[in-house]
Amino acid sequence: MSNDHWGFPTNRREFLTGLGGGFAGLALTSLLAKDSQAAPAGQGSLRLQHHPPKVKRIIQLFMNGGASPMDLFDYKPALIKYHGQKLPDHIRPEGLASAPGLCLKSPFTFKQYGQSGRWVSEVFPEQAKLVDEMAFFMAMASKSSVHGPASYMMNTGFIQPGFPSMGAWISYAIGNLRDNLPTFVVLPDARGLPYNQRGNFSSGFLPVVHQGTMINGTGPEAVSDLFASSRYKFANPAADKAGLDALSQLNKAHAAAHPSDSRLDARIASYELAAKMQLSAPEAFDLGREPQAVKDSYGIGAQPTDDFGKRCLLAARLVERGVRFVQVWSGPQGAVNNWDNHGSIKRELAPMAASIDKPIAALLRDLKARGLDKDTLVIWTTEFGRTPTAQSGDGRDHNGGTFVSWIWGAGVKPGVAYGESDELAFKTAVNTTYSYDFHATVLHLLGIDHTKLTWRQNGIDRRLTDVHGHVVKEVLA
Amino acid sequence: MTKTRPSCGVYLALTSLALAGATLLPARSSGQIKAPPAQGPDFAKEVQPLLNAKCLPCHGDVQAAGGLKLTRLKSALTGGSSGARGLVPHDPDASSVIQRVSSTDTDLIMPPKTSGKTPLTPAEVATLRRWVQAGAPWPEAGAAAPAGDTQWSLLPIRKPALPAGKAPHPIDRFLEVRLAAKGLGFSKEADRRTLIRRVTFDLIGLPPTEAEIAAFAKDKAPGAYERVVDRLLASPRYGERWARHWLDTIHYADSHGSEHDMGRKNAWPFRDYVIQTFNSDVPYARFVREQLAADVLYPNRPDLTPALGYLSAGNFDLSAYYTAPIPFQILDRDDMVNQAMSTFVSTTANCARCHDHKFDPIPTADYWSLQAVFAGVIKGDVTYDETPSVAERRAKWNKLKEVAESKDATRILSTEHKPVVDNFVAALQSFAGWKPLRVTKATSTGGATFTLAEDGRVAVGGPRPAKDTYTLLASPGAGRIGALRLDAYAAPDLPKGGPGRADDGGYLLHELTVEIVRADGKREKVKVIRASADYAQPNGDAARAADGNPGSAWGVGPEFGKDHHLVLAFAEPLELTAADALEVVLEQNDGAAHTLGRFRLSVADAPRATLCAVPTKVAELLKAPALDQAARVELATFALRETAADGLASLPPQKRVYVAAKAADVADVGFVNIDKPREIHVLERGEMSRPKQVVGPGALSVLPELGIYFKRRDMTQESQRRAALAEWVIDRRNPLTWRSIVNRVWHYHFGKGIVDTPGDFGRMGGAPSHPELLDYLAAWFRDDAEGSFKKLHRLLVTSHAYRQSSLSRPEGDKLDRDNRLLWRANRLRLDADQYRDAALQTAGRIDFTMGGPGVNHFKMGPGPQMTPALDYAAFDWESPAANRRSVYRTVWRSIPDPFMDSLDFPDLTLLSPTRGTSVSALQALTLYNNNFVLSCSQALAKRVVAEGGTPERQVERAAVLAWGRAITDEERKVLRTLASAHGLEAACRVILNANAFLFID
Repeated sequence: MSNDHWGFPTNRREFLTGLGGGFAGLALTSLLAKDSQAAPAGQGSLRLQHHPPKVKRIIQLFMNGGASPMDLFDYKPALIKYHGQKLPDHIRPEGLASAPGLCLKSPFTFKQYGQSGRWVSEVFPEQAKLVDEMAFFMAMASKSSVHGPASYMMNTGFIQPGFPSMGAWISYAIGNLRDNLPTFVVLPDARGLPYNQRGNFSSGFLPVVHQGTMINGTGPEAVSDLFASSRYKFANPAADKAGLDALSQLNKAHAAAHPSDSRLDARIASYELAAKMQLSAPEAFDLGREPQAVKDSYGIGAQPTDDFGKRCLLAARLVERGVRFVQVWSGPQGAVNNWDNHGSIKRELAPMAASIDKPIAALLRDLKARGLDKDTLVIWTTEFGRTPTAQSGDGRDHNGGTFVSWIWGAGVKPGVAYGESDELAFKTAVNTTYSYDFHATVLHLLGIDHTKLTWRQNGIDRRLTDVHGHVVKEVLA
Repeated sequence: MTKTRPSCGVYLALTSLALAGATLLPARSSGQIKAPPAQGPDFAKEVQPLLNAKCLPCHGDVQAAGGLKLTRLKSALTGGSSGARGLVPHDPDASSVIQRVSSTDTDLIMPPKTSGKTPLTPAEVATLRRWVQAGAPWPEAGAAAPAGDTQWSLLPIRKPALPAGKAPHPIDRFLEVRLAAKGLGFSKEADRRTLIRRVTFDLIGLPPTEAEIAAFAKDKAPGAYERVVDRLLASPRYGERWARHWLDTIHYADSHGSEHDMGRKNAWPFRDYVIQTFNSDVPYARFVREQLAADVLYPNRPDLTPALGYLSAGNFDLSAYYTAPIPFQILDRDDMVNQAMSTFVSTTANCARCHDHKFDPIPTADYWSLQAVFAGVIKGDVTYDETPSVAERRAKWNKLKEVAESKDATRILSTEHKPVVDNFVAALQSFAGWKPLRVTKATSTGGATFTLAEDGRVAVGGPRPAKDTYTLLASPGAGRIGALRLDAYAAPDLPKGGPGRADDGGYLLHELTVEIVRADGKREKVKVIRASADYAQPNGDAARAADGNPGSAWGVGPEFGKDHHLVLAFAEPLELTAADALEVVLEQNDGAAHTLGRFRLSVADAPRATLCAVPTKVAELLKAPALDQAARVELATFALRETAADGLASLPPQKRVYVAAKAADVADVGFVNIDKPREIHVLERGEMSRPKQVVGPGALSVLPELGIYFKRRDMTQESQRRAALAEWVIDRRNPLTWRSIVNRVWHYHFGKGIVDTPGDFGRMGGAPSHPELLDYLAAWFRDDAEGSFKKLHRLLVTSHAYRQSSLSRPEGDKLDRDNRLLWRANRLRLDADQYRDAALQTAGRIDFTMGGPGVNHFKMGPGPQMTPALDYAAFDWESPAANRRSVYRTVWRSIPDPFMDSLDFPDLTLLSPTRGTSVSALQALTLYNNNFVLSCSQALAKRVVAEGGTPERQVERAAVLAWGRAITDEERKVLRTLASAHGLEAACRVILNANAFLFID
C-alpha cells in the first residue's frame, strides 16, 4: 500500500499547529512538511498532541527474559505455605510444553518499605528506598508465554512480528525535542541483543526514520557511520567539512535546476543536520564529562553494575540533550545473563538484580538532581512473569499470566499500586493490565490519545494499542 | 499461552454481511443504471466515487456511523440518529451531508480527521451541491443493489474502447482525456540522456553505461528508443531487477525471523527461480500456478520445486512452533493467507480473522476457508532434481530399490526384473577376482611402522598414535581398474584380535582417497561413486569412508576379531600403463588409536554395479549348482539392490530448497508430520478458545462462480487445495487478479500505482485514478499479451506518459500538484538496491555472476542461542562478495543491513509492495560515512585515474560516469576545487552523495 514514507506530518498547517512554536532548529522537518507530493490522500496523518503533555521524554528499562514477579515485588506468602507441594493441574501456563514441578517459594526474604508499605525482595535494596515515588502495575498480563511473541507484545502491542515499537510510534507522533540527536535511541546489553533482535525496536510499517537507533558502548563509534572509518584516509575531518560544503553547493544548484521538489531541499537539510549530530553526539556519549561521584553512584567502574550503570547514565545524558525515547536493555538473548531464570532463581536472578538495582536508583536520583523528573518518565518492565512452580530444581518457567511493571516520574501518582495477582502469582486477579492499557497510559502522559495515533496498513488503521486499551487513571497524578 | 486475539478493527456484532455479500454480486453491472438527469453531475462517474471514497468506509451498510447509511437514497434521506436529514433534494443547505463536508469547524467536518481521509476539495463539495440541487438523483435498478455498493475492484473487467484522440499510444489516449478535462497536457519528451537513464534503472536496476548513452544519443533512426527497451528486456539483469520487486511484495528473506532467527541456507533457489521466471518471461498465470502448486500441477517438472518457496517466504517462529504449537499454526497460516490474498488479489482477507470484514464483502468464514487451504502445508527443506530426466531415472531406481526391499518373492522374481538379475548374476559368476596390490611404500603421519609383505599384506607396528593417516603407494601394472578393495584382517597380535589397533580391536576409517600417479609424476584424483562393505556399525556405514567429510567414518564395532572388507567403485574405470602408480590415503581421525593394524589393497575390473562387497552367503549361492526358491529370492534381492544402488549413485546429487509443501515431501526437519489437512474451525473473535463451525477450503464467496474450483478437486488432499486456489486466482473471470498485477507493474514504472495501494483494492484502499485505463491494461495483459510481463513493460515504457520530462510546470503544480494525472514523469529516488548496484557499476567493480547461495555482507559469529551474531561493520568491502548485485545479498530478517536500511530497504517481516523514500540525518551520515560508499569512492577514483588525463579531467569524468550527463561549469568548479584541496577520492565521495546521483529524472 502506498504510505507516506516521509514520516512527517503531511499537512503543513497541521504540522505547524502541532509544533506549538516550541521547537527550535527544524530546518529539515519544516522543509519536509512543505512537501505535498509525498502525502497521498487517505493516509493516517499525525495528530501530534491531543492534550497537554505531562511527559516529554522517556527512559524505558526492559528486563529481557521475563523478570520473576514473586521474587522481586509481588510477595506471596502462599508460596511459602505450599512450598514443595504439588499444585492443582490447572496451575500451568496454557500451551507450554514443559510439565510443571512442585510449588516453589521465593528464595529471597521480603520486607515492606516506605509509607506505601510496598513489599520488596532483598535483591532490590536500593530501589526499595524509592518505592514511594513509583507507581506499580501489579497485574500485568501477556497473551503469550513465549519470548518472541511476548517481547513483541510489550514493545509493539502485537504478538506477531512486523509492528512498530512504542518508541517508533512516539517518534512518528511527536518527533524529537531537538534535532541534533536521534529521536529514539536503544542501548542494548553489552553482551548482545534481546530476543527478536532488532525486531523489538523496529519501525515496522512506519517509515524507517522512526526505528530505534542502536548505540553500542559510549565511544565515538557508538553510532555506526557517525564518522568515517580511519581506514579511508581521504575521509579526514578537513575533507569531511570541505566535502559537505561542496555537496551543499552541488545539491543547491541541482535543486534550482529541478524546481518545485521539496525532497531535494530536504536532502540538503539532512546533511546540515548530520553535521550537527556529529558535533553533538560525541559530547553526549562522553561519560568522562560526568563527575566521579555521579559515576560512582551508578556503579560505573565496579561489578556487576558497570555496563548497566553506564547505559543508565548515558540514558540520562541523552534525554537531557533532547532525545525523546531511550530504551535500556538488561540481558541479552540466551540461556544465561538475563532474566530467563529457568535453572535457578537464587543463582541466576540474584546477580541480574544486583547488576541493575544500584544503577536504577542512581538514575532516578540523578534525573531529579538534573531537574528532569519534571518532564521525564521512567518505565521498568519485562515481557512476562514466571511460574509459581519449580523448574529444574529451583528455577521457574515462563508465565504470561501475571507480572509487574513500574513507572516513575512526571505525571505519575507516587506510591500507588494498581491491580493484584492471585494467591500464587499465577494469574492476574484484579485490574489486569495488558500492554494495550500500559501503552495507552504512556501515550496519554505524552499528550497522545492512543485511539487517534494510527497508520493505514494493509486495509487497517493500525494502532499501538490494537483495538484495545484504557488509560489507567489510577496511576496518574 | 499465546491466544490469537483480534488484531484489527472494532468488533462488530456478526452482522448479516454474508447475506449482504450475496447482494453484492459483481455481475450487477452499472449498465443497468439509468442515465442521470442532464442538469446534475453524473452520479456513477462523479458522485458515487466520492461517496465511496469519503463516506462509505464509515457510513456503509456494515458500519453505519451515527446511524447514517449512505448506500441508498432512502437511508440517506432519513439521516442518522442525530435527527438531521442527510439529504434534502434540491436544498443543499438543508442537507446535513453537505453541511458537514463543507464545515469549517474541525469538530464537525466530515470526513473527520480520525478517519485519515482528507477533507473534500471545494470542487468536490461543489459537485455534491450540484447533485443535491438537481434533486439528488440516485439510480436504483429494481431490487438490485446500486452499483455503488459493489467495490470497483469486484466488478468484471470490461475492456473499454480507446477514447478518441490523436495520441497513437493507447495509454496516452486514456491519460489525455483526463488531462484535457483539467486543462492540462503532457510535458515534452525527456532528452535522450535522461530517458535512457530512466528506462535503464527501471528495467534492469542499473544506470546505462557511457557507451550505451552515447549510442542512444547518436541513433537518429526511427525506433531507437524501442531498440533500447528491447535490449534491456533481453538482458539477464532484467530478471534480477524485477525479481527484487516480487521478493519485496511477498516478504521473502533468508532467515526465519522472530526469537530464533536462524538462517535458511536453502531458501535461495526460490530467489533464483523468480529471476529465471522473469528472464524467460513465464506467463503470469503460469507463474501463479507454479508458486502455489508446482508439485500438483507440474508433477513431471521437479526442477520447478523451488517455486514452492513462495508460500514459505515469510516469518517462521521456531520457538512458538516448539513451545506453543496451536497458536503457532493459526498465525503461520494467517501469514500465508495474508500473503496469497494480498499479493495475488490485493485483498485484505486478514481483516476478516476476528469478524466479518468491516468494509469489504468478506465474511469471517471466508477467511477461515482460506486458512483451510493451507491446513496441511508444512514448511521446510525438500530435495529435488534439477532436470526431469534425472528425476525419471531416480524414480526408476527407487522403484527397483523398493522391489528389492519388499521381501515379496513374486515381485522380486518377476519377469520384469529378470534381465537385471540375470545380467548381474552372470557378471558376478564371470568375475575374474580381486588382484592384490603390493604396497611398495607406506608412510604414517603418526610415526607408525609398516611391514610390507610380498602378497600385499601390510602389518602396522611401532608407535600407536591417537590419529593416523597412512599414505600407500602401489603399482598395479597396465590395465583397467573399476574398483579398489580394502581388506582388514584379524590378527592375534593385535588388541582383542584386531583388525584395528585400538584397545577394543576396532578401527574407524574416516576417508579413503585414491590418486593416480602417472609416469611423468602428474596426479589425477579418482572419483569414487559408491562404497559398500561386508559389515558396518550403526552410523558407520561404508559410504562415510568416501563422502569427503573427514568427520564421518566407516567402522565395524562390535564385530572385532574378524576380517572385514570395503569396496569403492570408481565413477569411471581407470586406464593405467605399466609405469603408472596408485597412491591410496587412509585417514583415521578418531583420536583413540582407532587405526588399522592389518590390511591389504586389491583391485578389479567388472561391470560397475557388481563391484561391491559380496556377502559370504551370496558368494556361496553363486557357486551352488541348483537353487531353491528362498535362495533365488536372496540372490535376486542382492542383484536388484546393488543395481539400484549403483543407479542411484550415478545420478547427480539432489538439490535442496526451503519451501512450503505437503508434509511427506519435506525432508529430515524433524517436524511433526501430518498426512492430511488439519480441521479448521471458524474462531469467534479469532480466539482459539472459541471454535465454531468447521469450514472446508475456499476463497472469496463474493465471487461465487469461481467457487467451483474447490469442488472439482479432492479436497481431502492438502496439495489439491493449493492447486484449487491457484486455479481460482488465475481464472480469467477473477476481476482482482488481473487488475492487481498490472497495477503493481505500473506502480514500479511510474512511481505510483493507478491504485496507490497495490496490496489493497478494498474500500479502505485507494480508488483508481484512471479506472478505464486500469481495466484496459488488465484485459490487454490477460488476453492480448497472454500474461507476458515483457510485453506489458514494453507497452508501458513506450507511452509518451512514460517518456515525458519530469520537470515541474507551474500550471501543473497548480492544478494537479500530486501529478495523479501524469502531466509529467515522476522524479524517483534510487532505492537501496539501485543505489548499491549503481555505485558498484560506476566504480567499475560490479560482478554480474548470477545465482547461487546468498552473499553475506557481514561477519557471522555464534550467537547465544540459534540466532547468530552478525557484524555488518566488520565486512571487508574490498572482498569479492562485495561486488555482487544486491538481489544476491543474504537478507536477515531481524538483523538487517544498516546501510540498506538507511535507504528504506523494507522490513521483510511484512509484505512490502512499495518502498519508502525517507530522508533523515542518519541517512545522510550513512551515505557520507559508510564503508561501502567510501570503498566505492576509492574505486571510482582509481577507475578515472587509470583512464589517464589531467586531474581536472579525472574529476569531471567521475561525475559524468556517476550522473550520466555532462556537468555544468559550476559543478566543474566545485568539484575541481574540492579535488585539488582534498584529493580525487574525496570528490568521488561527494559525487556519490549528490542528488544528481540519487535521483532519476
